[in-house]
Amino acid sequence: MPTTDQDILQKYSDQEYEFGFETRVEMEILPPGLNEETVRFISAKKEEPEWLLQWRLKGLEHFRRLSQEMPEWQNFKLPHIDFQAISYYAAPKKRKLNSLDEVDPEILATFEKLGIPLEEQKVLAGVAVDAVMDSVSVKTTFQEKLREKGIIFCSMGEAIKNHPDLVKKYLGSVVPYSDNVFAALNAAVFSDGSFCYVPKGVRCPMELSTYFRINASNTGQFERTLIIAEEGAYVSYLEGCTAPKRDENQLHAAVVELIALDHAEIKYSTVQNWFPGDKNGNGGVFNFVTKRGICKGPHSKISWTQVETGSAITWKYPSVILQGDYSVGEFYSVAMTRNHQIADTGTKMIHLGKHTRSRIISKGISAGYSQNSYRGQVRVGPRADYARNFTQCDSLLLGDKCGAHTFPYIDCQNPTAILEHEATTSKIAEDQIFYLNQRGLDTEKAVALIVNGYAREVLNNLPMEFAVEAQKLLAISLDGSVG
Amino acid sequence: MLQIKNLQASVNGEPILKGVDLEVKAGEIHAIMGPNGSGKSTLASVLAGNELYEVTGGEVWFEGKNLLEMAPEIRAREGLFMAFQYPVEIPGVSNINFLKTALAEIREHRGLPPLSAKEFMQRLKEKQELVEFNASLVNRSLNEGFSGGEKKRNEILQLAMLEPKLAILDETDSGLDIDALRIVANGVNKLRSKDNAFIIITHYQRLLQYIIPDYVHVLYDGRIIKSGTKELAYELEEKGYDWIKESVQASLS
Amino acid sequence: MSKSIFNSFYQYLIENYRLPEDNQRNDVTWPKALLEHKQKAFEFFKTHGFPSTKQEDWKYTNLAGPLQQVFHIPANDTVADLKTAIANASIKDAHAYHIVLLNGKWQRELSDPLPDGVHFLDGKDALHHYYAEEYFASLADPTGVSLVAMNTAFIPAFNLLHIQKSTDRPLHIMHFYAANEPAFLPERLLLVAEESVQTQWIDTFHQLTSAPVFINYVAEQFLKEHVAMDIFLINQLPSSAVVFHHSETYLHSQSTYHHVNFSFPGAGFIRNNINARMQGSSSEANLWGLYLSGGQQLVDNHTIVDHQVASCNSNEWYKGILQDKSTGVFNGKIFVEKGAQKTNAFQKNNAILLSREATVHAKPQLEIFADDVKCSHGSTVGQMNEDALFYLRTRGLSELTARQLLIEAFAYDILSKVQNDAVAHHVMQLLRQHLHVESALPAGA
Repeated sequence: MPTTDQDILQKYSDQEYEFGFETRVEMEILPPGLNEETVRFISAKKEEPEWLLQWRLKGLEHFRRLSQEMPEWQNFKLPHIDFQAISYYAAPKKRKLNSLDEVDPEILATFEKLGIPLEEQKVLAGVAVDAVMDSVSVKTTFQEKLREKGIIFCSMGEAIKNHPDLVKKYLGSVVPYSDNVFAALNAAVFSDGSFCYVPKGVRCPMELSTYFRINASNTGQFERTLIIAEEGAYVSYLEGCTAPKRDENQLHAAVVELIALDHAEIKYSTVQNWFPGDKNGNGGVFNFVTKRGICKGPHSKISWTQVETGSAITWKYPSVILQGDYSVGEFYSVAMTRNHQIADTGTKMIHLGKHTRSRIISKGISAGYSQNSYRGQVRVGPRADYARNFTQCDSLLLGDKCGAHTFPYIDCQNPTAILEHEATTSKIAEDQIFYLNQRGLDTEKAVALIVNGYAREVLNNLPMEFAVEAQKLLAISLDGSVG
Repeated sequence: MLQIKNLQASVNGEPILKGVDLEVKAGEIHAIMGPNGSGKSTLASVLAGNELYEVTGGEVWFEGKNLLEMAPEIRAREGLFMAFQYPVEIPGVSNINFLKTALAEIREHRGLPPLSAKEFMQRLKEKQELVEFNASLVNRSLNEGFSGGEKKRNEILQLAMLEPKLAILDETDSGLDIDALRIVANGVNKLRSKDNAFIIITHYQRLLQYIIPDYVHVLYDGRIIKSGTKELAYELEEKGYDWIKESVQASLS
Repeated sequence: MSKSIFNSFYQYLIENYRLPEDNQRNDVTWPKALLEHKQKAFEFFKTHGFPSTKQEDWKYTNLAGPLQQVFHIPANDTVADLKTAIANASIKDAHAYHIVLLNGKWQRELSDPLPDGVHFLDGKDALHHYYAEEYFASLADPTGVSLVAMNTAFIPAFNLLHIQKSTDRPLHIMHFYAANEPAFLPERLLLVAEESVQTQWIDTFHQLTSAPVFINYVAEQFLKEHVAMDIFLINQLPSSAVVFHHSETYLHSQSTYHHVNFSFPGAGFIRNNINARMQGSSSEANLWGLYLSGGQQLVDNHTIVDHQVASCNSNEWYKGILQDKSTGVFNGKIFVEKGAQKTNAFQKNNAILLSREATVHAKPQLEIFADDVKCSHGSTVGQMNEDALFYLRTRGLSELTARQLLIEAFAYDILSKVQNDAVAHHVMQLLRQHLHVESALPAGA
């Protein structure tokens, strides 16, 4: 049993990534490289309409422009990414079919192993899953049951085929292809992803979930998610992800767009556990994700909750544009980094409508040699009368070789707004550990308990099914024994 | 002194006061009791002029003038004082400076010359003793870092300094220990006269053991449903509010 | 895309740059070592130009507008009636030793004789002082701020304030500026406070003429062990002034630095860089600031509190009151470097907007590389507390009086940091003079 803090910290650093296995299935992989042909190939492969191909090509054009000057504002040096060395299309050879029996048993086994069974009778009650392996959606469960309520939940590919009007109306409306270099790349080469449409007045009866898995090597994953909640609708959406252990870095550049109309509510939860690299900082996923929602209608609400424990680099800022009067945006985040991980994550709350409210709770935990940054913006436009924001961002440092950073931007153009921001940085107090020691917990458990308590406010916002997983993940990241 | 006629008020569109009638004459002490949510504090806030509360009907006359047409500060200068349930903390505003400014404004309104610094300090000292208010508190920022009891005593100190005609005590007894309660009550008793009046808003009859009211009213669901003398308070304490609710519902059906 | 501005003012400067020995106006020779600093600084400025909003530290502070004008390097000294100006600038009951500067040049005959142990040096006395060689350009220039490099490159000379003994009364440095045509007025100070010295120092800035001026003031300040230094900075420059003010302070062990920074409506553009770097253990840096802005003014306060060693404390509190179409920018960086354990670093920042057309940008920033630390920051933007306002009105105060009182109370948090009653009173008067509370009525009204 470790006795000193150093031992314990060492142990956290040495903890193995438990989802690092690889699935052997027959794959169709496009050779590395990115050009117009690649984009045309993907579009053709997916039998897409012409307008979408043109849209993708515009994305490529912007990517070429934006990649001339890669972003520098983040709190780390962006590693050189050779975009020509990545394969932009990888799919299990057996395409998604009508029944589960037709799914490659290897894939079924993979998701089984990840704790995401795709057979509906085995699935956790109340969660519909869209499973995405590398670039392609393998299986979406409970589709029938949802269809009865008028809810569309399917892969993006299917949505493009079956609901082109909806896709055309909303795709890129929140995150345009010109938004940033990774969003532009995604627009050009996005492979699949999930699509969800909840019609007027419908409360989605179960949690919807997408589970992402990168499997093939030398590939990037570029999924795109689009969720639309019509007037008065409600949906809660979960997203999970893992990847095999590989020595090289893998690129994940996803885009998520949420649209909430009048009185609609979207709750989006993520437990991100991509392979973080080994303890020397080799390998791991580069997670460059653009997530943004718009509260379009009055009294609408968008809530982001994220637990970020994986990836070598995380670069993501799930944001909310509060356009409708009385709309509400929330961001709850726990980001845990260790070894040589880098997290630069936070949110943007853009207040445009009157009486809009936002709340940001961010908890950073850094260990090892990692660097953990909160970066956030709260902006109040001149018309956003009586806007309110509360931000709390706390950092916890475990060890003296890591770093914790806070970069909040507060921009206010309205005298009736009230904005509050608080941030603290601390370590676990000796007396807290001592107190728990005295009650019979060893130091390792005490630390885990305190960290869990520290993250509680965020974890409480996760749906039950995920809260358990997230807690486990945090505990594994800490020591693997405390639940 | 004060006539409230069929007063109706709402908050965020929700009606709270649904027709309150009350008359208070000089020299009287009225207690207004009632369960939580009955509208007691709303009544106090409306009388003081808090703009969060929208008056939707009725009239209030204070010394023959239409109270509802006055800005909060004019009500204060006319002689209406409210002791808040939760007095705000105002860092940076010194208690003394604030009292001086308030007193000067009120005296000016009444056509009185401002007190000299010496007179002011003398009066402050007198009144401080009355409410057993620590001199060091007077020199601090307004209510900042004061305990609950200190805040309430500061309210009574202000009451003593500003010499209003009508004082409304909004749940002044809440959160007070027995000693503080006694001090507050003694202060009020010393200040009462044939020329002024008090409205004491309270949930319990505890305070009424120290300040004997002339009248007790029960406010329920935005209306005064029963009025009586101090015995009513004892009865309420004994039987609880359910008793009165039931009797009202019985009379309605 | 360029992150710099290379405009006609820049072109003018590059073309008119002369080393001091080539400059007819200079009657002093610069030591070779210092000239090298100057030359290096010029090259830096030449490469980097003026910062544009593409640079993170200038994101909200656009120099393109204020520097559209070509500010000329003045050919002759301007004559001004300083006697009246001194009388107007002096602070009643402060009993300060006046040190009078015009366009950065010491006016010895108009200044007070300084107490024993306080030396104000200019010209060759400053240039050839042993501290000049040791410290000049070694504190501010390494920050890589191109406007500092511009200062180093273009100053004809600098002043050196050497404090060897504690002073019984505060020092008051009056910075006067005068020009008959648009002028670029760089000014530089090197301060060295010797061990255990205790001093209060008032720094006020005034302009005597109405031609546009670009004031570029850089101070490098060295506080040795056990020094206790209070600086009260009061910016009273008028709208014709564009101001860049950079002070870089190094703190040795157990030294204490209080910097209180006030600015009022006037100068169209103010950028302050107030940096404190704790290089000795148990030192303490306190940065306080209050700005009342008005008109179309832009007031930008950038601060750095840099904990380089263990066991130091810092406190920072900046407050802003914004009127009219003014813009306020606050950027407070706290660095806790590796090994700076047992650090306590606290920062607060509050702004109230009194006008529909005012804008505020705040960026409190923590960068922490040590774990045994207590650091926090809090930032609020808002309006007046409506509950407090109502409370005061129920006590008979008019809405205007109540608002005035609440704004003064808001300011009081910073005013109370001025451990000098005369100065605090003076600042309060300035606040009252520039505050038009009627504009503070509710947004809807």
